[in-house]
Amino acid sequence: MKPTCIQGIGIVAACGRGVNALRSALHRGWQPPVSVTVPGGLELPVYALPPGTLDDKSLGRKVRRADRLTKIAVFAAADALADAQLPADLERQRVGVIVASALGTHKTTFQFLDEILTFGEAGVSPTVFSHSVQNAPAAYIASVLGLQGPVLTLTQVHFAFHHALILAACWLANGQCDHVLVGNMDESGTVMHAICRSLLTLAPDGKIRPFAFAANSAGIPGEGSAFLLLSSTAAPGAYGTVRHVEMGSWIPPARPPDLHFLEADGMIPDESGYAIPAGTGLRLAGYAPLFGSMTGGSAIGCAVAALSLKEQTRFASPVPDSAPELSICRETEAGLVQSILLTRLNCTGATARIHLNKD
Amino acid sequence: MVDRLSLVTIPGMGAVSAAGLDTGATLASFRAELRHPGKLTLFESPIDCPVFEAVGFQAAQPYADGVRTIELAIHALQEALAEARLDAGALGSMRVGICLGTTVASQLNDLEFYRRFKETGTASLPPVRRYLKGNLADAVAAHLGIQALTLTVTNACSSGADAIAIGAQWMEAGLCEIVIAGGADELSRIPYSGFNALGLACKFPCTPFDRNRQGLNLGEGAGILILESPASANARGFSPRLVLQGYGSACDAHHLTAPHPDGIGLKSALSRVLSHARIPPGEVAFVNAHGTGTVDNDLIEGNALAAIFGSKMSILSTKGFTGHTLGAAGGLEAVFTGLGLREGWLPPSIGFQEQDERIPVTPLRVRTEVTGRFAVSTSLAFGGNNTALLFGLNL
Amino acid sequence: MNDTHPSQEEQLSKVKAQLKELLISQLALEDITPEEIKDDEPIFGEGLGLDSLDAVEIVVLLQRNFGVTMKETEKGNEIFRSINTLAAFIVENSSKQTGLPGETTAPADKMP
Repeated sequence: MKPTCIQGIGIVAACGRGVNALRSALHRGWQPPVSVTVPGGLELPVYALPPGTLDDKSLGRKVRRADRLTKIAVFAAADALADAQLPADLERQRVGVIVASALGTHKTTFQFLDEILTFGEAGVSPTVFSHSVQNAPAAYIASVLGLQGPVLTLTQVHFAFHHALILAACWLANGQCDHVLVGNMDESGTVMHAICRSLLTLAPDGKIRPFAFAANSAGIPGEGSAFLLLSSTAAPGAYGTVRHVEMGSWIPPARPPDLHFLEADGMIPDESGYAIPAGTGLRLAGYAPLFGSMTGGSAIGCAVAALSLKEQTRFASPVPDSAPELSICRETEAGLVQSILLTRLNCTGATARIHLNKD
Repeated sequence: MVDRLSLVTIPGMGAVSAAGLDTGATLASFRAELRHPGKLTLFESPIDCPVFEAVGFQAAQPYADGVRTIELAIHALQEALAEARLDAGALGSMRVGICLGTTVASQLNDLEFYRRFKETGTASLPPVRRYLKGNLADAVAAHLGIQALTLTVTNACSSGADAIAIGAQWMEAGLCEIVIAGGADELSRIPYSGFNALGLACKFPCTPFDRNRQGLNLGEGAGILILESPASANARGFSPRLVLQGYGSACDAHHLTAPHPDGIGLKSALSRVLSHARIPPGEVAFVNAHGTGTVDNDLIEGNALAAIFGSKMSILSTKGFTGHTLGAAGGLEAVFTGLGLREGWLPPSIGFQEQDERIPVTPLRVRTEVTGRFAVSTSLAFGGNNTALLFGLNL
Repeated sequence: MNDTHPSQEEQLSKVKAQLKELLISQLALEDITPEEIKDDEPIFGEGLGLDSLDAVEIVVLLQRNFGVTMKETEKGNEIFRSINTLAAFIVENSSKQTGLPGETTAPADKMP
């Protein structure tokens, strides 16, 4: 895989919107999740977007009909593109878009099912249908930002974002594009809350523990989107590079990274498999406690890693509870950060790993 | 630059749709110029538009709690593997990728699940578990019992074509030597009512490119290609004649539901595929168009095809035989394009009768010999992505 | 016999007001007020600037809020030109279908 240069990042999540909000959240440390009431009267903790995060009216009519997930994705993608500060004469036909999602447009799909139940199949809203299609947010990103390269949506519960990074590297290497906006989007909503209440073991004190490696892990559902603007050539002011992405059984890295993000977040039931990648003596970090449990959370992880590389800062892990023999980054410290590895497991124990470098 | 022709061979293809339960039956339908639109029987609906059901389709054994989309995919896969003389055992020792496009199978869209939730506030978990296990590409890997790079593409109507392009990209990047690529979709009440609400569904059997066309009919099916590196095929004693010569994609960046009036995305995708394949437009023997039968698609696509290939190009839409199979369309039409090259003939563009003066190309009115080694298949997605694939036949 | 049956003018006026409110709320036109929508300005393309997706949504809006169903041949033509033309269509077809305009019909019980 040819390395790709991270020129811009955008994020809309429990930390709020933007790189500054991300940095503030990393410095602030663990915050409790908010509480939503699930049908049936039970409470569910959620790492939801703060109120007002999507109030931006600057895109005006272009997003007037957009549903919440679309706005989340469009704002994060637009921010990544702006953050990259590409030249004004950017050839928009040479910019591609790849949107990954674990659960996709499920909320609007449920809204469409509601239309069917309320109004009958012959009386449903065409606007709701159009937004329930999985690639609607990607279509909005392309039309709002005027991007006329290839546009792709990948929806699968595990590793969709990793696939997106691999494909972005292909598109840049084979010359289809000069830049690719790659991101993940996922939101929580009423039905998903009810599902999480039943299926997810909830962390009783609101704290996700990335280093517990529990056979019955506990999480807190999260939501949000993060996008990277990737380019084929390096540019001054870039965050770093995506060196390599691989999937399969855990293999220790040939060269130890300066920091190893364990992406354990309580979403897969059995996280004991994280003990193996954790046991290689590398310096560890884990940021899921800030953003919530999301199988698509690696995009946010990459945004954190990119910021670390650019600012040469190792951010403190917000919930460092762990066995004493593990070397966890517990304090935010400035220092040399040349390389970061992100490791995520799926429910069958396969890993997906992203290698990022300063250059 | 690497010779594109050498990179992606196609040793096997499989298809199931209203046109036939395999490629042989499909060719028989094409030869007889017979199509089978009919009333919806797979589920009940107050809407009365014709659909193209794969009548007589039954899975050899039920998979994944009977998810029909997965069963359709596996059915087409079995034909493709048989033609390629591959089985699960052989695949087990190769670096395999599985990339499949779909719309329906990727959604938690069970109406009864939602009805129960709305009435009781309780999320019934069996449909959720079924959905979580129902990833199309993973289900195919599980059926074969192999480890593979698996990806499900959800790019609306170009998903199947995009999946094939991704398969080629994986091979070019050296990640796989074999990719199972294509698309599958069953009929679903969500697009059935959705397209009706958009005013895009036709109340009679669809007539792509026809002057009096009034919209699309939905269909179901699966179209699968086996993509293989020449080295891997040769090592098995195989010299496939059919190859994927190139791919190209571009977005209109215009509107959620309407294509760009000047077809800029499609023209861009066609320029890209011709450039990628290094084939001039004059060497393309025919185009299997997206041709849904909607007023806008056919108008814009017809004009874009004429602009790139000239008004004399042989074009047809096979959606007159299969309906619009959404995520499966790009896969099915890739198979039909390959069949056209290999068999050397094309059926007429069924459903077309009267020329629309606003469209500068005329689809095939009669069965037509194919003279040439290259052909293009186009897919125009809801949301504005356009993908073109270019196939070649080695002599 | 209802002595206070509204005149054609009153019906039209009421429908126009309702239409403007509905277009703003259902088509998410947050940046304008009902007062800013002129009765005779074009609502598609120029003027209000609605598009093809809004057009099909309006068909549903008419059914749900005024009980008026458009025939296939009526869709996308002169009826959609302005608030005036839409309101006239609604009033004309409401009196044929249900009586007074503004009555909402019960949601169609068409569950499969």
